[in-house]
This record gives sequence, structure tokens and C-alpha cells, in this order.
Amino acid sequence: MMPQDISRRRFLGQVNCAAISSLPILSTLLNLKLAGDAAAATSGTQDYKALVCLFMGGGMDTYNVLVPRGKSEYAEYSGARGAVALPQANLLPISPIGLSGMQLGVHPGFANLQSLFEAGQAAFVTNVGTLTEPLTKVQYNGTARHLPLGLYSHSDQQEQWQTSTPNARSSKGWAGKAADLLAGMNSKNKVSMNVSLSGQNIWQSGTNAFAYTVNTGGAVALDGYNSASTNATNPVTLRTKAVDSQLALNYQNLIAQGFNHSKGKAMEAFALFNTATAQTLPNEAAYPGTNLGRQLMRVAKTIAGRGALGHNRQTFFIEYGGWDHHDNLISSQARMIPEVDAAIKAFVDSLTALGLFNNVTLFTASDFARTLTTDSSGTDHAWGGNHFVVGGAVKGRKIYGNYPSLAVGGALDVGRGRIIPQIAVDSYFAEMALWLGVSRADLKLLLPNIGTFYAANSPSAPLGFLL
Amino acid sequence: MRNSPILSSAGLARRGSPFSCAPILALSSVLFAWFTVPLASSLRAASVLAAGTVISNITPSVLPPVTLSAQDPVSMILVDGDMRSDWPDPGVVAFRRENTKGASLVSFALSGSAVRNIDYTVSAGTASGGLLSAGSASASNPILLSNFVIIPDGKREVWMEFLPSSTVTSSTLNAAGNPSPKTITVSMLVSSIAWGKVSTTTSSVTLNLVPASGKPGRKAAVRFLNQAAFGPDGNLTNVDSVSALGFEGWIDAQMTRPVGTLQPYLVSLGTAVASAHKTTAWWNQVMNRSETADSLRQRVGFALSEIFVISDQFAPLAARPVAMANYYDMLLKGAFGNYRDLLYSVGTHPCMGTYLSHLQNAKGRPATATSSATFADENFAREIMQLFSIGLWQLNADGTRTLDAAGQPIPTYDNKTVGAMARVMTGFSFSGPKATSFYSAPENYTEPMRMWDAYHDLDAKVIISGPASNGITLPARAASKPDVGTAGLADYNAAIDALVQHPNTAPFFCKQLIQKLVTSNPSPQYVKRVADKFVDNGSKVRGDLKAVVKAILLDPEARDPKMMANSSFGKMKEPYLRSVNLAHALSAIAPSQNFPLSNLADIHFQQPLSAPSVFNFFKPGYVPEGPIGAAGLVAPEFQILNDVTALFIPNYHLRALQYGFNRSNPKDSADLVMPQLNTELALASDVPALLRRLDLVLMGGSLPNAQHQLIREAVQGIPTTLARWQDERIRMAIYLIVASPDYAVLR
Repeated sequence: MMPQDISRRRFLGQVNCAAISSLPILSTLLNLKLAGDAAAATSGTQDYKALVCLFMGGGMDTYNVLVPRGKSEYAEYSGARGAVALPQANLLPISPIGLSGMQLGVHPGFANLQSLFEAGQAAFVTNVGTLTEPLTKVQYNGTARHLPLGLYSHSDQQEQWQTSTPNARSSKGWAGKAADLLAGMNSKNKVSMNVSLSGQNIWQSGTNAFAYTVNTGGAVALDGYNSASTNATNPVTLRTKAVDSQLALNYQNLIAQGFNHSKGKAMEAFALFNTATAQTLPNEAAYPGTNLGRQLMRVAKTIAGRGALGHNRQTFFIEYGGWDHHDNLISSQARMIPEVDAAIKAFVDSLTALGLFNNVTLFTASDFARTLTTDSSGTDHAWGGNHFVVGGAVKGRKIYGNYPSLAVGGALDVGRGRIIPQIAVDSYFAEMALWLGVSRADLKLLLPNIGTFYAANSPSAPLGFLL
Repeated sequence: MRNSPILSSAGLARRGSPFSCAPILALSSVLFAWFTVPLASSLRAASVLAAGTVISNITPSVLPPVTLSAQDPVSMILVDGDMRSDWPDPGVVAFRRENTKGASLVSFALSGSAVRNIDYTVSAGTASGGLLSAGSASASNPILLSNFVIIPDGKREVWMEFLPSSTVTSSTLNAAGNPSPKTITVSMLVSSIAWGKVSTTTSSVTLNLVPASGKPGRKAAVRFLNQAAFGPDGNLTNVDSVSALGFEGWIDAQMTRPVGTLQPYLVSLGTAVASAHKTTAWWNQVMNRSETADSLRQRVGFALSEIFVISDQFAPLAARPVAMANYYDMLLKGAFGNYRDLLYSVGTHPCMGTYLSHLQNAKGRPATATSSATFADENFAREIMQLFSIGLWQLNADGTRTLDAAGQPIPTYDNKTVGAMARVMTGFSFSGPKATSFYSAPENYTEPMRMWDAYHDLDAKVIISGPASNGITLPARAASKPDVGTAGLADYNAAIDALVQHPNTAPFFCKQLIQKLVTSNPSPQYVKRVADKFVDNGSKVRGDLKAVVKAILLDPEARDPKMMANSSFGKMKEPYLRSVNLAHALSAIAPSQNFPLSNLADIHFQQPLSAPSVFNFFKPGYVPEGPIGAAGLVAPEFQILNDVTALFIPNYHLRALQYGFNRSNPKDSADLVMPQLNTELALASDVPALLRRLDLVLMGGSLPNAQHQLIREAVQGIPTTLARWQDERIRMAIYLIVASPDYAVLR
């Protein structure tokens, strides 16, 4: 195995776009491709899977999303949070399987999430965050251990929540690397299997893979350009021919080459994407009119168009920003969380109507959680936090991980209620990567540090919420 | 006449000429038979071939067979007739026929006051592979003999390039006292040979070769203005101003001009002022084409607004446009001041205080029986270090990262430093005569924040304490009485000084400014030369931004035209500025004299003062997928070039050419910002002249020949029988130039 692993790593690290045709030389990739072709030939939904990343940009205060509700743990919570504590009576109760010794609730704006959770279609992963290795408070305060680079900094933590390499800067994310490996499962890759509603992002960038960025209206056409226009003196015909010629020219300057490359890619993808995703959803009218609602509607339409796109695997990225609540945390979350909740409800209903609820998993991510303590009406950048996953494949109504003590100065508090994560993002992501179809042997190509937290040959799942 | 070839490859390489590859000869035995009598003497005279190849003994056996063309009329087109001995952009003449089958031979004569192989050299080229409109690609290259050029099989055009010698002199002076241009006249001769019939429409063209005058020519000035301002104006006034003053003289003049501030326009609107008006005010200033326009300051100020970021994406700031304009004006005023003053002002501006939440940031307090502990807000403390001054990683003086023994970069500070810096940034609140208390001071967004010692953490702190450097300890201080913030400001001043003096600051800040103005991947030497000026402007002053801006724009790496042929030099023009440049070049104006262009953000993924976060629209280290990333280069602006913007922006330009730069028709037609295209309209029937004009004003003469050919064919293809054909033609020409990768790249 060793030589093969090394060669594959080198392949992922060094290959450029021109070498994409060499993908099948790798045996595991070839097998994946054959499996994918077979799956594509049988049609139907049994081999379709998609991940939807809902990235809460700015650092969502997730200790007000999944909240202690029982008397003593609530007292600990409110003691730490002061003015930013949610009233105990307002929390929506949930009844996780296997949780003992405490009670939990969700933010009052998450009524639909509460229902999904109780129906076994959603789960929480608690106190998850970036780690280079398991860490105690004593080790944190010492100097021997390595901490994630740029801990508590937006840009670094957003990056690491997408790259899963907190010990190094990287411009590649694990969904991008997954697409490098899994693209062969798709019958077509003209439109990237990684679709973003929020522009380019690291999560979906790999060696070859990139984010196909669309907006809520779909993909963008080039105006005044029409290959079907034939009248030789019509300006549209002339413009079309000239634009094609410009795309075909060789450019000596690399920045010009890059520009030409981007434009050509955009034009090719447009034609396919908009045809493929034009169908109306069964519950289209039920989507909320928010931007997030429209974004998730576009995701659902793209999932519905998977056949025409030739996609058996897809990932979707939506960044919903504005969670950097240094001020007015309570009122801001009260406004924003119901938007998230309503959009997810409509999305879930679409998937159910399409018969694809078991094939799609939505998960949340964020820069970091926020300090338990407040500076007045807001909270500051912190570390480990709570996230949720939704989908028919999710082993729901469970809390994965141990909900931490929220006592200020508690065992995991490194100051101001910054909680050391007990689950590394690597494990959270590994679960989803394996579910999506990445092989155990390839896991470390996506998540270089996974071996520190999970043995790829382990008979058990990394966390168990999907596998 | 000398026959020994002295071709330089500089001008050819940047036009993507096929001559960088080994030339393949394409004379046929049939052709050669025709040559034997009339051309034998030329061949024996060792005529110039591509890339300096000398033919002294052609034999039929080395030449592949070529079928001779029918009697195609050949016309001659002046592609670029402006040459200067100090600028390696060649003059270009195209020989064109309408068919591509078989070879054509064109006979020409060169005359005029300039002497071949002394004042200039000649070479020939044709479209390389992929030029769809020129018929199927052929491996054949044109062959240039001393008085003949052959259009090879499969090609519609051959270009003759005239590369100026750098040592042209002229004994006569023109009215301005500069040496008079020399001329090259190319005449197509009616050949006695049966193929290659000469069109009678254009039988001679003349190129001008201007000796160097010590001042930049128009092409050089256009290139400079794309870096230092918002590109050339349609009437070339600013171009001629650069030519007259010289680069340094123009910079000096700009630095004395009054500041074109944004706030007065917003204030003039009274209570009707809205968030969108600050974008109008911004456009009004960057589009100022008057005698007093401060374009350099506006350009540098915009760059600063992408480093010291505040954004109306943050709702409390969107509601305060006058305040944001005041902040922007502060950057404009500081653009040619001292970095230390700028950093100090950025930190005390209420907009920054709101955006990064150190306004009314009180010192932390321990837990009590009734309340939890609170802590100083770390937001501004973190970003003033990470983004505004020293950055995350220890740097060498040339901007490269310092590495530890294991080859790893070394952090500049740790979270303890952030905590200490956060304590420095406590105690600020609104100022003004009614600011009688920390919390209840009335809003005052147009004066710097004031300090309250009572809310400032007065304990000792160790700042800049990371592994990067020895800690700087701020002593415990006593509160002023009455509380005028003396102690807190002493901390703040000390922290600002520490950041300004930090060895990272010069390379960190200067490299970013270079990336914004000139090139995405400056050499470490370039960064160091500029950073050295930051450290000492020559008069022992640190942080003199006049010296820094001058060093950036006058550096050899920015000015040497040879850099234009360096494949990794340059940057993508920022998408929003590409549209501003276009508006300048097309003399866009509305009857109201306003530019209410406030809703272009989603087209460009960019709009002034509207970044998605404090990390700006794009990050300095962004590596795009594709050829740039594969070459190991960064290209920050590509972070917002995606499948949406790659097509939205050309769509916007197409619309702007016909219906104006407004996103949609304005309520008041006096606000319609229309391009003024009278100069271009007058050239609609002379397409080569139209393209020469646009090549200068949009590209500084650098439009590659292949682009020139394909654009000319598209424009010429619009028949004069079509309704409004003049408009259609100029729109086609401008659209295609602006949509080309060559226009998108500043180099």
C-alpha cells in the first residue's frame, strides 16, 4: 500500500488541470469510476448522495443554539452568560436518545429543527472545533502542545473549518479534494459537482475541483452571444464568432491565461446548468422569500437536475454571514435563526417530495463558537461549539459528543468561556466524507490529520451520525 | 541597407508571435521556380527571415510543397503606426486577402526618413493556432524577404512588425522643440507575378518613429495612468499631461492638488441622504476630469480603503453614510501623509470603532455576586495587528516570510498579545462638547473618538509579546483628573508607535499597496526597495506615504516596458475599476454631472466601502485554480472572478455601451451616465483607424495583432446597410476589446 499512497499524494499535490485525463491510472479511482458508470447506467436514486454545507459566517454563538435546560445546568449556563442567556422557559425541549444527567433545548427560533430532531431526522454534534491534537486545559496553558494557527481569528478559523488542516495554511478544502477523488463517479463533470451559492470558497477547492458558483436565479449567460445565430451580418453572429476566437487564442501572460480560462469555464457551464436545473419544485411556493430560502431552493433544483448534469455526487456551499455578534446577540439571533429554520424546513420538504431525503445531508459549520461571557450585549471569538446535521440518512435524535460544562473556569474553559473542543472537525468531516463515498484509505488525503483522532481501519464510525 | 538581421524579440514575444518557436519554411518548389529569376539576387543577399534566420542557400528540397493562390486582391492595413525609440511596441502593418487557400506573395517597398536595420528592424508574423476566423491553422509561417512577404497557405493575414531601435536620433526639431519624427512608408507594389494581385484601395501607409525626448510617450502614459489613476480619459488630456510633466513631475503635481472629498456632497443632500449617495459621491470624485482632479490620491485612497476596511455590509454603518464618507475622506487626506498618523486616525474614527466594536469598549471587570465577569472586546485589537499593520507572520525586509529551523513560518504574536492589545483599546467613546459621559455621549461620527480613563484598563500590559519580538511593556498609569483620557491615550499612542516601528510593518503594508497598484507578484527586491523608503524616506522619516507611493510607481519593475513581456507580471484589474476605467476612456457623463451608479455591487462582487468583511473583497494571498495557481502565483482579484462575474461584467459593459452605465434607467433622465463616442463615431467607416484610436485609449497600443485582426473582422462584418451601423460598429469594437483577457490584465 505504501508506494501507492505516496504516489497518490504526489498526484493530488502536483497534478495540474491539463493532467485530468490521467485520473483513471489510479486503480482505486478507476474502480470508483466504473462503479459510478454502472450506477449512472442503472439510473434511479440509489447511488446519489449530496452534502450541503451551511456555513454560518462570522462565528455563530452556538451555545445559544443547543442550550442546557435542566435546573442545575441551566444555572451554570445563565451564570456564565449573564445578559446573553436565553430565558429557560423559552427553550424548545428536545429528548435526545441516550442523554443522561442533563436536559437540553434548542433556541426558540428553531421550531422546525426541534421537530426534525424529535423525528430522528436531525442530530447535534457538540463541542466540535479545530484541533491539531487532543488537548487539555493544562496542555493549552503550557507550551508543549501545538494549537491551531490563528486561533480565534475569523479568516484562519473559516479557512480551517474548510481545510481541516489547522496546523498549516492551505488553499484546498476537503470537499474540493473529495471531488478530485469522486469526480469519476459522475457521468459528466462539465459543471463541477461542487456547486456554490456564495462564490468561490476554500472548502470546495481541490487540485482540479473548484466551486461552480451560481446565484439564486441560476447560472449566468453571456448576453449578445448565441451559437445558433447564423446570419453572417447580424452583430450577434459576428460577436459570437469573435468571442469564440478570443477564447481560442493563446495568451502568453499567465494572468491573461487565467482570465480566459475563467471565462471559458463560465460559458461552458452555463449552457448545461440552466437547462438541467430549470424544473419547478413540488413545493416551490412554500419557500420563504429570504435570500437563504432562495439559495436552498436553487440547491434543491440542482439536486433535481442531477441526471442532466451527470452528477451522482454533489456538494453545495452556502455562506450565511452576519453571526459576528459582538453586540446585540439576543435580538440578532432572534431575527436570524427563524430564517434559517424556515429555509431548512422548505428544503427538507422538497427533498421528501423528490424522494431524495435519504440521499442528502445538510450540516452546519462556522468560524468558531463565541465566548460564554459577554462584554455587554454581545460575545467574542471563541472555539469549540455545537453543530447540527439534517437528513434521512442521519441517525437522529442524538447528541454526538459530551455536552461541555459551561461553568466559567470549568475544566475546558481556557478563559472567558472559550471551550476547548473535544471533537475535532476532522472527525465531523470524516463521517460525512466516508458517507459520500471517499474510501477509508483515501481519508487522510482529504483530512491529513485524521489519524490523530480516528483510525481509518477502525470498525467503528468516526462519530456514528451517518455510518 | 544592411542585411544582417538584428531582430530583438521583445516586441514580438508580447504579441504572442509564432516566431518564438522555430520557424518552419513554406516555400514550394513551384514557388521557388518562380523565384529563381526575379528573386535570386535577394536570396543570395541573405535576406531577413523570421527570428533572425538567414537564408543563404535555399534549395527546393528543404521546402514543403505549397499550392499557389489564385489571384487574390491583397490590401494593406495600418494596425499601429505610432513608434517611439524609448518604447518597444512595434509599428504594425497587415497584408490581408479574403481567401486562405494557397500562398500569396506581396511585393513592397520601404521608404521614408527612417533607415531599416538602423532606426528599426522588420519581422513578420501571422495568427498562431486557434484563430478561428482566419481559416484552419497551418504550420506555415509567413516568409519575409527584403522586399517580399509571403502569406502562407491557410492564412488570411500577415503582419509586418517594425521594431524601433532604442537609438533613433533626429536632427530636426518640431514646434515643441522635440526631435521631429522619422517616417517609414510602406508601399505595396503591383507585382509582375501572376498571384498576389494588389488592391488599389490602399497602396501605401506611413508609420511615425519618434526619437526619445526624455518624457514618456502616449502609450507609456496610458500604461502609467492604468496603475496610478483610473486610466486615460477619452480626450487624452490626462495622457498628454503625463507626457508633458513626466512620471515624477505628474506625481508631484498630483500630490499638491486639493483633496476631492466625499462628505460635502452627502451633506448637501440634507435629510434626503441615503447609503447609496456615498457611492455616487465616490464616482463623482474618481470621474473628475477637471484641471484639479486628484486622480492619484483617489486611486491610492481606494487602495487604502481595501486595507483599512470598513463596510456598509454592517448595518449600523449602512445607516450612517455621512460618517462613512468622513472616514473615506480621512483615508484620502492621509494618502500622502504619514502612515503613523493614518493608523492613529483609523483607530480613533467612530466608524472603525463601530465596525470593529471598540467604540464604548469598557475595560473588563471581575465577576461579582450579582454579575458575571466581562472582558475587553478583542475585535479591533486583533485586526489592527493582523490586517492594518504587522500581519500574522514574521517577515523579512523583502516581504518574504521568516522561517524557523524546521522551515515553518513564525507567528508574529499570540492570543495573549491580542488580549493585552484589547485592553489598550478600551475607553473610547464619542467626542464633542456634549460628550459628558462614556455611555451616554451623543453620536458624533465625524470627529475622532475621545478617551475616558475611567473606562480604560490602566493596569500594565505587555504588547507585541509574541515570539516575534521582545515584549513592549506599557506601565500602569494613573487616571487623569478631570478625566480627559490622558492615561488611555498614552497607552494608545504607545501601541500605535509599537506597530509602526515593528519590522513587519514596512514590507507588510508596502507589498499590499504594490499588489493593489502594479502587480500581484512583485519580486522581493521590489518590495524591499519600497519598504526601504517606508523605513527612511531619505530624510530619516519613517512611514512617509508620499515617498512610498512614489517608490511604488517609479520603481524599475513598475516602469520598465520589458516587464510587459514577463508572463507572470501584472495583475487583473479589479473588476469594479475595470468599469471605472471604461467610463473614463469613453468620456462617460450624465447631464446632471452626477454618477448615481450605486447598485453595481452584485455585478462586480465589489463596490467601494462595501466589502463582505474586514478581509476586503479579496485577500492578498489568494491562489486561483487554473494556470495561475499551477504556476505558483497569487492573483488576489481572482477571488471575485467566478462563473457569475466572468459573464455579468461583460454583460454590464454591453449594456453600458448602448444604454448607459446605470444599472437600470434612472428616474431622472438627467442622471443617465452615457458614453460620449463622437470621436469613435467619426471613424466608423474607417475600421482600422477606429481600432487604432481604441487601441491607444483602452490598451495603450498593446492590443495584440491577433485580437486586432479578429475584432476588425467582426466590426468590418457589420454592413453599412444595417440600421445605425456606425453605432453597431463602435459598440462591437469596444465590447470585444474590453472583453478580451488583454484588457482585463494590467501589465
